[in-house]
Amino acid sequence: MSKLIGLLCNRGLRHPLFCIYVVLLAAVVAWPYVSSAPTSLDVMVGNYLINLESTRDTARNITRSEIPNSAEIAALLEDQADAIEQMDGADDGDLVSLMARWEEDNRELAALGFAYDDIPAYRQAMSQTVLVLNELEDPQLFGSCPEEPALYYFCEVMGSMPWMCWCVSVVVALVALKPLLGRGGLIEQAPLRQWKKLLSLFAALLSLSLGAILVAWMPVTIAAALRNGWGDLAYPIVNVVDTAEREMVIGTTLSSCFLANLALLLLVTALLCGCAVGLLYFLGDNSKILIALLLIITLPLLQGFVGLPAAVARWSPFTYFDTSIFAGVPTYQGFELLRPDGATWETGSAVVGFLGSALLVSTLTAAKLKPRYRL
Amino acid sequence: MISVIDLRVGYGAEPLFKPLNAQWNAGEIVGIAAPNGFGKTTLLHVLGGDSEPKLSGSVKIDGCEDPDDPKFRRNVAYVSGGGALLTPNASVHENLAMAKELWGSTADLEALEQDCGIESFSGKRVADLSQGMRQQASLAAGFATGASTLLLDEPTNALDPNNVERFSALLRRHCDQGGCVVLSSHLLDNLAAICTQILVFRDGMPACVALEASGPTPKELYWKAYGEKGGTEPL
Repeated sequence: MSKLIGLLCNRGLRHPLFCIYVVLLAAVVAWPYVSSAPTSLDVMVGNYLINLESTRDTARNITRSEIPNSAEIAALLEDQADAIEQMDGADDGDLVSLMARWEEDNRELAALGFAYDDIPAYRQAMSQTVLVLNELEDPQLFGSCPEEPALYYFCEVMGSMPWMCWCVSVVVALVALKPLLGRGGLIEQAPLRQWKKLLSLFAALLSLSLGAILVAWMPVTIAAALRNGWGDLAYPIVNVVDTAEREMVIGTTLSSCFLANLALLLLVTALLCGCAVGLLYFLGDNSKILIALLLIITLPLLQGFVGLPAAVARWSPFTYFDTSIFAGVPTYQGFELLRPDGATWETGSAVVGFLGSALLVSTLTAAKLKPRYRL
Repeated sequence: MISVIDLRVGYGAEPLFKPLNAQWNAGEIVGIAAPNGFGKTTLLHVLGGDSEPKLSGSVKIDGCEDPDDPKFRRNVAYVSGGGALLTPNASVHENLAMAKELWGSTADLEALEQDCGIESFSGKRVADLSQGMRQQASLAAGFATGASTLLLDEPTNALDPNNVERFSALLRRHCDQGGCVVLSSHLLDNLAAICTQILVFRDGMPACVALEASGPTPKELYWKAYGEKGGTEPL
């Protein structure tokens, strides 16, 4: 079986379409790194500065009002305004310290009953992240992708990678292997049990898809490492997962992202492989494979547009195509990537694992029940 | 090598011909002679283990009946007329190497390429070859598997006379070394030159006739089986 897997991988790698795809994917992955967007750190500081005057006005109005604790509230607001004033042009360490001061004031304001609305989860995470970073000796803030060390960048883009990349990778691998899988071909006639052939095809698709993605990462990861270093694995992050704050570090987020994406790739491979092989096997009609592949790619889009009730969405595999929901991402760029809604990592892996295994097992069982040597 | 018992083949409920019973041993080259659309290719598929058009009966290759069993598959290779055995975007040599690796054979690929006359284009992609060259490469891949039983669907149709001679000799050598070949062809003179038996179907009834110097030729058998003036005398 290992011979067949090796042979399939070898042929897949030599397919021009596969090579072109890897180059294109590398360009997609590197795009945030090479594109010159304004740094979100500037935007973030700008957002504080915009509120400077209104904060001072609020402090003055509170002083004149008769609400309880008005003097304390006004003092806290004034302190926030002073912190904002000093943010402009501050270095990373001072900026984190000033932001932490602002956050602590904000928490005290909330404790005194001075809060506008329910604090959204992303705001909680941002606040907690700043406080955690402020405890570090040398805190750093990364305003844009090109500033990030390699591991942080890897972690961030991995966590927010479009699900289409995972689907397309498997489809491209399948297309690259298709010439070998024709009726009457060497693979079809090879002296191996049918289930071993299917398992080999599955393993080859998985290896090629994952390989394509990892190889596509290499140029930008090496470039980031040369420019900004690898980064500290113990650097803290606060993610909001399933509405709960979770303090993490880059190392755990990275492994979480990687595992989540690997599980996702397993599921996608099982889905595509199951459908393609099943249709080839039972119907022998290649055009049906294309229909199945299109359906699989369309279904998550439909879920996105139509929407599903939360209870159903929790058990839909397509919910987990956005792995940042439960794997987390680094949150240093304006804290935009936090996802307060969604499901937990545990539920996600259960759904992905269950459905992926079910599809694979059903395909293998079907192959066993209807023994033909056709793939 | 091939044992066929009460084999009925067809795509609907109606079989293409009456039950076939045959025992083809090592050293034999069996030619299937039948008109277009009779079911020669379908029969070869079923002999190779394809279960779909098989209605009933059994096919055993070297005593093994389960086409999913590696033992069955290791001992048989089906070479179609259109080059379907080969991977089109790989070179001829790569295809031969794949065949050798998958079947675990001990074939000497360089010698095989020379014997088959394909060494001059073994580095070319199969997709870039002419029909005749592709047919040569397909037959070479069949030999590269090392399978003892070769099922060949119109193997010499696209070949020039030199290559027909070359492959006829290779098939004879394969059988001399303990192999067995079942092939279909409309080239009756070619069948006469290499076959030890001819399988024809008169009124749907299969008949396997040994070719002997004093006996009927494949051409005579063909016209007796399918010609308008075929008559009723025994084949």
